[in-house]
Amino acid sequence: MKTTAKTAKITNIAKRFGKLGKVYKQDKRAVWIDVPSKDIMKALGEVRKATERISDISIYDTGKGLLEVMYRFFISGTVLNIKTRINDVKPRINTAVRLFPGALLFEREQHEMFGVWFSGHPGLDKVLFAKTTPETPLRKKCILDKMKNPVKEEKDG
Amino acid sequence: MAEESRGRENEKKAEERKTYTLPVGPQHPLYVEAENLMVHVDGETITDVDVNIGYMHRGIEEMMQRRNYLQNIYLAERICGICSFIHSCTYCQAVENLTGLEIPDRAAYIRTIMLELERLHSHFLFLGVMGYEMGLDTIFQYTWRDREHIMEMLEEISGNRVNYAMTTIGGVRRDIPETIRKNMLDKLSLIEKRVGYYNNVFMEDRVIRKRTQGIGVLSKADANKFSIQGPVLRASGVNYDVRWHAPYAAYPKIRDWKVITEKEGDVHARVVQKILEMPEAAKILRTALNKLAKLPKPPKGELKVKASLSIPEAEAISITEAPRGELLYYAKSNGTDQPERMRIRTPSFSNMLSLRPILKGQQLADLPVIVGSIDPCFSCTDRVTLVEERTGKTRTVDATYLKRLGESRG
Repeated sequence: MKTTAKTAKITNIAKRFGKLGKVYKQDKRAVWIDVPSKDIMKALGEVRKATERISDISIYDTGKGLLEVMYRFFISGTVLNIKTRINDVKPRINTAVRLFPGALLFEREQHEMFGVWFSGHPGLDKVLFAKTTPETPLRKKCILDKMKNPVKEEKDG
Repeated sequence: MAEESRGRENEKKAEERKTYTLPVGPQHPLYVEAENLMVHVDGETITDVDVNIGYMHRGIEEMMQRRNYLQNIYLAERICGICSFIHSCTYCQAVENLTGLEIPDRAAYIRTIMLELERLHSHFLFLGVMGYEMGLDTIFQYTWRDREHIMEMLEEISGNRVNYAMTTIGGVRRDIPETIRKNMLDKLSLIEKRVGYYNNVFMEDRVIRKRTQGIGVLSKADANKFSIQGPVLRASGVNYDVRWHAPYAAYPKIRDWKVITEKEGDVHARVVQKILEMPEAAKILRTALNKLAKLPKPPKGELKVKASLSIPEAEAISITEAPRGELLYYAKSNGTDQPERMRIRTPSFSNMLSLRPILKGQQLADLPVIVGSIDPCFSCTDRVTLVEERTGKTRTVDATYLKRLGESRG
């Protein structure tokens, strides 16, 4: 694909979804949009009109009282990243599963790693770890090295 | 009303009497890794399935955040033994995207060659496993023999059969010498001929067709709905391949191949999908190898550009087409030599959601081939336990029993 055609495609994606929030970055294969948490479902609803496939959901703990939740979609050869921020105390956000059933496992994994509650998720439970493992292991406050027994022994039966 | 309610209860109880739960795994007959499927069966028919994963979780995202960018190349490579190069390559691309680094042409072609060799050997492995699960041991042995040519090529180039340590941030670590390049072109013709043979076998053999056609169907709607990836998605009729739609490495310059799609979405379509993808991979390889001869060789032609290992605050995405589908890495830097956040989303994780729709309503004996056909990067056992819910009695059966059950369908 010629560079100009590719750039035009990415610019189109940025224009189309830019109204959902603030386009804070645009590179050769991705568009990055920052959306206020109150508008996130509306934004995801708009993306749903363009695609029914979701590529990923990930979270980043800023360590400053906020968690960044990022939704990723692949549209017309471009990765669309939609980021929102939520409070890290009792973090809660509406589930994307109603719009994108493919988000089922992504939300369970992020819930397990960061303790975020995805309201309305049909089965929000641990997906990768046993129930005895530490809560929210990828949160910055969770320092595994300092824990005496990070993983409790699971009783048989 | 009370009677009606009681009737429904009895109906439910009767249903429950017929239903069994069949734990498959954590050790599983198909694969060498651990995974657990709780299969609910009514007689021999699968009524539902619960997928329990995580037995192989090693906390690699967290480990990456404690190591520097160079150390992480080798860690990424060890995520998977079969797709080791695609992981290290996608990781390096993510770090290069953080700084806007462009790799030299020769490095891009060498990465593409390695990626396609990896795809070929992974697809051969899949064919062998599918043949074995259907009781066709000859196919299993043949594919293993043919796969060996690819493994030899990888060994000649890198010195290793897995974990090649070929890529680095900013390019590649080794060149492909002219003698090896010519040797690879010769071997490619042989591989293409063998793929033609497998195509004939899987398309024309009545036993294989009866065993796989109309079994484990994943509709195009479900494939999109559950965001399924890779060959499983394409076998359901969705034209999506990252190599074509968002090309990376040297793929933007190699366009003389096509994205293969099948329509049926059944086990047969998924097998044929991979067989037909192999000549396309060979085409890409041939073009890349021919182009490599025309590019300036080292020391005139560079293999890598210098990369700074302290990366200013930024975030980037890297997306590639692994043998099993779309592989995604997200990297966030913080000005040090260690990443602030790494996120890895593998195709098999997405594809787990396909198991429920493709197994529901199928025969228990078809379970090994159906699960095998999505080529998940997981697990294997030599025994399973049947639990009767009503009485709580258990019955243990081994892999031989399951395999015999599978073969008896042929």
